[in-house]
Amino acid sequence: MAPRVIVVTSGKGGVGKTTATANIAAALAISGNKVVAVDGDVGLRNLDVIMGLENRIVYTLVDALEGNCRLNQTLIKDKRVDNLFMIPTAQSKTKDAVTSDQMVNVCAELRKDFDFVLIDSPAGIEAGFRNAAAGADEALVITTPEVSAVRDADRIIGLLESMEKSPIFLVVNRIRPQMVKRGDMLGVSDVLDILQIGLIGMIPDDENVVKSANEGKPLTFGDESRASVAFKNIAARITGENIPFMNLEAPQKGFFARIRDAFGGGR
Amino acid sequence: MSIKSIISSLLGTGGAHSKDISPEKQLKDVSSGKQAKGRLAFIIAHDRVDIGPGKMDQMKKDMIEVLKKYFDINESQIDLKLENEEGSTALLATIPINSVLGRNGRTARSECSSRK
Repeated sequence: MAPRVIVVTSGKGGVGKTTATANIAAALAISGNKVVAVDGDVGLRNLDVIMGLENRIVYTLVDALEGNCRLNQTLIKDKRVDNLFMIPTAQSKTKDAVTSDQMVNVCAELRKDFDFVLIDSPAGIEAGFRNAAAGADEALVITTPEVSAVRDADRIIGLLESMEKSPIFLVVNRIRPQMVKRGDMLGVSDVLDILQIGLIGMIPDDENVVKSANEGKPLTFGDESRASVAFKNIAARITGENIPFMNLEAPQKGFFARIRDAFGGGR
Repeated sequence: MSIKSIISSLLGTGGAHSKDISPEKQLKDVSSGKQAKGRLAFIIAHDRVDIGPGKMDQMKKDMIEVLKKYFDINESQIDLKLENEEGSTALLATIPINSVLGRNGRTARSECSSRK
């Protein structure tokens, strides 16, 4: 299989890009792929914290680009899972420390060693986003069921199309099924009507996401929470598996039994 | 569900000639989720062609000037709006005509559309 470079982006900040990057990267690694997650948010790095690898940073991507180290010295191996790596970026620099050409080169280098390169993009539509996306072939757009987030997702999808990223898939995050049911939240079908783009995942709003960020341990490492299952399903769909979408509106009781049923005894 | 049918259901009209989709004209007792969708459809239609509601008003005035040369039209009943359907954006204009070439009371509906 040819290596795949995927940028994870959203336009609006705070919708769950970094959480999605960490969890999808972990799930891809668990299913046997060699994966590197790259923090593309120079100056506001967070992927290291979400993945719980902040204490292991020696060199950053910016160090490699400035010639202070080789690119492979920036790779942090996650000891909890085989085949999972992370490249941190600099916290004390600004977006200007990286150029689009450099990101294209970094991605070309990483393609030699990895099955998947996931790049966590900064919010916004400026240089930071463009750099993060420069070396990617494909894109995941994360949104939440809110007017502002969907509007920004539409803008980002337009930019990704103009940058010829393909395929571009949508992840709808933080869905609260009860609110959707009583008509007080946009449903996934509403969001798809508006954005006219392929859906690859629906993540329920789940307290376990907050807990996993507190602990620095991606949910997909083992947790069987609804969000964890949803992220694992995205990873499986990325690798081409045909996994039905979770019924988010079903009642909480007996959830695991239904998941087992719905997914034919799990993946 | 098409945007037109949503708007129709919002307004309880259901006719082929749906009304203005601007948020102000939506009924207040519509669920907040439906309001969100209606507002989003309106916002994104304008974002995609980079024409704000103010520019639309200006364009409407310009169009009226041109149309008046050819038709006797009722300016207050002109309805101009942007709609998105299946990835393309359309400018829909409903322009009731009082008389054209001596005939009275007919309504013409013209449409032009383009890819986003």
